[in-house]
Amino acid sequence: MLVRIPLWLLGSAFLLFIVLTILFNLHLLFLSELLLRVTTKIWFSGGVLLSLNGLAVIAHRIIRQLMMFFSVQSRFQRRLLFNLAKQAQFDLLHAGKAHYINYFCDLKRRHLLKVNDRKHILLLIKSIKQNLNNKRHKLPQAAFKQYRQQLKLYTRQQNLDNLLELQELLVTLL
Amino acid sequence: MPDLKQWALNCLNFWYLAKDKNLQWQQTHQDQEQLLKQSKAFAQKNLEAQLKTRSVQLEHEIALLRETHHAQLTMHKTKCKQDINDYKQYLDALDQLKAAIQNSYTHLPSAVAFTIHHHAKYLLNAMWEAKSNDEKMHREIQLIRFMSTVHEDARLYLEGATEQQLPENTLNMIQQK
Repeated sequence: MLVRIPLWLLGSAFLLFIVLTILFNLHLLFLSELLLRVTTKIWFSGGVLLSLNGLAVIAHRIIRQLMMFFSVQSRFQRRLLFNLAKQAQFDLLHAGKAHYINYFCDLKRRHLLKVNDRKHILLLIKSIKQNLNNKRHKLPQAAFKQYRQQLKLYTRQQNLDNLLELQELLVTLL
Repeated sequence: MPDLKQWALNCLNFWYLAKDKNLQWQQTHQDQEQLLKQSKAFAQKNLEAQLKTRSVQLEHEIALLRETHHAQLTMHKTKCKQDINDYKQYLDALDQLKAAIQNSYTHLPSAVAFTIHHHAKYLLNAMWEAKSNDEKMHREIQLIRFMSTVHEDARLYLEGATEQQLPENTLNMIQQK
């Protein structure tokens, strides 16, 4: 109903414009000027009413959407989805925390191993140095230098396997 | 002009006829429309009740899950701490093993003692890093067997029950690796 009024106004304004053109062509200037004023006012009113109608429709839609958003069903649905997401999040968090604990446990173990290895490497280096010094006179100069250089290199690298091999080599040599 | 008038009247009659038919249809199906509205409202109420129940159930499950996870994580932390302590004790045991070899076989080159200790540590780490329980058990048995062999060799040597000057059984086990 509300849309019809502005549409009627616009339709009648359009017809009046046609009549206006005919009157203008018939050189009835006074009448055409009078009709022009009336027609423009009708056209303007129809346009304004149509715009107001559009705004009212938009406002109505917005209010309806808001009412749907705050309706009981939507609220319960949102609450349910939130709880489902929270449940999934809890599972992920638990897996993450367990992984975190495992990681730091492994880190501690590796630290203990490293400390223990360092202790034994120092003892091994001391033993190799003692061995080399004891056998200095029995070994050729070049070989002695080579073994000393190897010892320095493996000490820097903290390489237990190579140090053991060097120690075994020195033991089997002489 | 009369044709235009007749045409306009026909259009108007057609419009009223359409409106009458619409009104008659609505009147005949009034009961069905009412029933539809009622069942729609009922279904909506039903859905709301179900959503509410499910939501409350989920909240309860989440609270339960929170407690369960907390308990599981606490147990896991305790187990990890215990594992670290066990590992530390294993390392101390291996150090004692090395000391025992060096004290028993005084003439033994330190290289041999170091090698035995190194092998024992290798077995310990292999056991600790095993992925499956079966592999872990297998490695644990290997380690225990190795440590027993070392202690046995040292005991026999100290008691003079063997003529071997070196812990031969231990060295054989290392070579078999």
